[in-house]
Amino acid sequence: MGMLALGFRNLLRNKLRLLVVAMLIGIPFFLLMAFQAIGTAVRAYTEILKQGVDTSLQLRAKGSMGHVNMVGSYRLLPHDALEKVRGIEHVAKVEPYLLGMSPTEGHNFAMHVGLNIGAAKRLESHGEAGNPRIIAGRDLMSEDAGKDVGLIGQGYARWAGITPENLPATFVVDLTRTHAVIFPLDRPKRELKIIGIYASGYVFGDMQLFMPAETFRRIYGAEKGFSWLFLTVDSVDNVAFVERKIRETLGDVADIIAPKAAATFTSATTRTVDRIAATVSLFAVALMVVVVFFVMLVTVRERAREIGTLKAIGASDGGIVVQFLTEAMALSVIGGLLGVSLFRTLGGAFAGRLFALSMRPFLPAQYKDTLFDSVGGISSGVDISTIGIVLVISLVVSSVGSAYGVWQVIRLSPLEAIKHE
Amino acid sequence: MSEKKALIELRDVAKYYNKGSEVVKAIDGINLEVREKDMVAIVGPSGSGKSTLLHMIGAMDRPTRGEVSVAGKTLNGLAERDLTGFRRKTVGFVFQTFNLIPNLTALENVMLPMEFNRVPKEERVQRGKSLLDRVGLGHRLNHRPNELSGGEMQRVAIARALANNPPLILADEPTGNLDSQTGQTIYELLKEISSERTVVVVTHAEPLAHMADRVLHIRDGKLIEG
Repeated sequence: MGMLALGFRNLLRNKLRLLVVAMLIGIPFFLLMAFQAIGTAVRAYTEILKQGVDTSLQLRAKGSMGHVNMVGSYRLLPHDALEKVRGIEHVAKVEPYLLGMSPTEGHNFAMHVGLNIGAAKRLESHGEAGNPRIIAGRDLMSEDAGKDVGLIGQGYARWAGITPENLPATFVVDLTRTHAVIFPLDRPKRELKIIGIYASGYVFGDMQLFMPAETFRRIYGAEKGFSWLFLTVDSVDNVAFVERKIRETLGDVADIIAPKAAATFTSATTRTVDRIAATVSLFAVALMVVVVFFVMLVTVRERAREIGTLKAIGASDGGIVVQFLTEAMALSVIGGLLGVSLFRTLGGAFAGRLFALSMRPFLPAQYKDTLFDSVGGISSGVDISTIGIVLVISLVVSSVGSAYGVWQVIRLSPLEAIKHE
Repeated sequence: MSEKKALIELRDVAKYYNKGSEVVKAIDGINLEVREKDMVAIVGPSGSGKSTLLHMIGAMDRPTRGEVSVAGKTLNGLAERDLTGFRRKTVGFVFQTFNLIPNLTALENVMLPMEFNRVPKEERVQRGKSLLDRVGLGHRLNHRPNELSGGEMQRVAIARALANNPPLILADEPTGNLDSQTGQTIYELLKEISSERTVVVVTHAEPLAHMADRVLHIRDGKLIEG
C-alpha cells in the first residue's frame, strides 16, 4: 500500500511532467479516435446508400440507356409499364424516372432527372444510391410538384456558378446544345429556380439536376414513357420471382438490371474506405504502442538514480516495481482520458481535416473531391467499447514499458543504479 | 571501561572491475575492523578506492573476493532480498549529492525508510519530525528538496539515514558539495551522531578527518592506517 501511495504521490507532485507525459499518451489516443470516427462516418454513409440495394430492380427500355436525348439510347419504357409492374405480386414500390443529358465543360455532360416528389433521388451510373445529403438550401417538397424548380449537385452547381450564398438561383436549360453523345432537341429555353444543392460522395453523382417529373416532361417534350423504373421487392427471396414475372408481363421491351450489377458501386467505395480506415487505425494503434512504450521506458530510465537511492535506503525490488507500475498505469489512464476529452472537444473538426489530408488522396478519383461533403459532420462522440479497448492496450503497453525500464535498473546494485545516468 | 565490540569486519576484501580488456583493482585485499560507536574517517586521493570500500561495507555493491561482516551478519552470499533488509535496518547512507526524492517533502523523505520498514504511520510522522528537529530543520518539514539549500538537503539526508535507528552510518563525501561553513555544521552533526552509533565517513576534508576517532588512509586500493 505504501508504494502504491508513493506512486500516486510522485505522479501528482510533478504536474509539468504529468502534463507532458499525459499529452504524449493522449495524442495517439486522439488520433486513433479521429480515424475511427472517419471510418464510422463513411461506413454509415455507405450503409445509407446501400439501403434497398438487395431488394431493388431497375428497368430500362431494351438496349437503351433511357436518356431522352442520348445518341442511340433515347428509347423509353412504354407508359403502361408502370401500371403493369405495379400489379406484380411482391412488388412493394415502383419509382419512375425520366432522364436527359446536358453538355458541360470539364465533366463532359450532366444529367437531368425528372422524378416524383418523395421518390429517392437516384444517381446516374449508381442507380442504387439514393437521397444524397442536402448541403445548402432545401430539398424538393410536395408543393414543388409541376413547378420549374430544381435541386442541383455540387459539381454541376460549381460549373453553373451557383453557390450556397446565391440560392435560390436561376438555371437555364438549353436543349439545343450538343455533345458527341447528345443530340439537340428543338425546345425553348427554360429557366429553373434552383432551391438546393446536394453532395453525393462522388464526381458523377454530383453532376445531376433533379426536378419534378411534370417539369421534366414539359421541358423535354417527353409526354409519355419512362427512362427508368425502380422496383422495390418486398423480400430478397422474391427478387427472382418478380424478375421472372416482369419478363412475362412486359415481354421483350425491358432490360432488367439486377441488384448484383448495381451493387458494385457500394462495394468499391466501402472496400476502399474500410481498407484506408483500418490501415490508418492500425497505424494509430502502432503509433500509440510505440509512443506509450518509449515514453514509459524513458520516464523510468531517467529516474535510475531515484531507483538506486530507493534501493540504498531499503526499498524492495517488488515495492519499486509496484510504485513505478502505479505511476505508469495512472499516467496511461490520465493520458487516455485527456485524449478522449480532446477528441470530444476538437474531434469533429480535426477529423474533417484529417480526412482531407489522410484519406482523400487514396480514394478512387470519382470520390476524391466529393465524398467528405456527402458524409456530413464527423461525430466527436466516443464509443465506450473503443475507449475500453484503447485504455486496455495503453495500460498493457505502459505497464510493459515501465516494467521493462524498471527491470533494467533494479537488477543493478544500488550503486550501479545511482550511477546509471 | 568496557571494551567496544567490532561492528564491521572485513577479511581480504577486493573489488575488481573490467574496463575494456584491463582489470581495475578498486580495492585489493583489505582487512579491517571497526568497533561500535567509533567514528572512522577514510581518506585518500581520488580513485584510491575509498568510496568502493564504503559501498562494500554498506552492501551497495558486492565484493569480488573476501568476506564482509557487519553487526554480526556476513554479507557474502546473502540473497538480494536479505541485502535489502540489511540496508534498511542496519545502515544509514549519506551521499555526497544528497539523493533526496525530489517529489517528496523533507518529512516524507525522512519517513520513507520507515515506510519500507513497516513502521506505523503515526510513529513515522512523530519520529520524522523529531529527527528533523534534531538536525535543525523542524521548520522545514513540508519543503521539497528544490526549496532547500545544499546544507539543509544534507541535513535531511542525515535525518533520513537515522530514520530506522541503524547502528551504522556511512557517509560518502558528505561535505563535498557544500561550502566550508555549512560543511562544519555537517561535521559536528556526524560527530554528535557517532556518540550513539558507528559512523564511517569518506572524506577529502581534513577538519572532518581530524574529528574522527580513527583515520584510515587508502591508496591504490590498499589500506594504510594512519
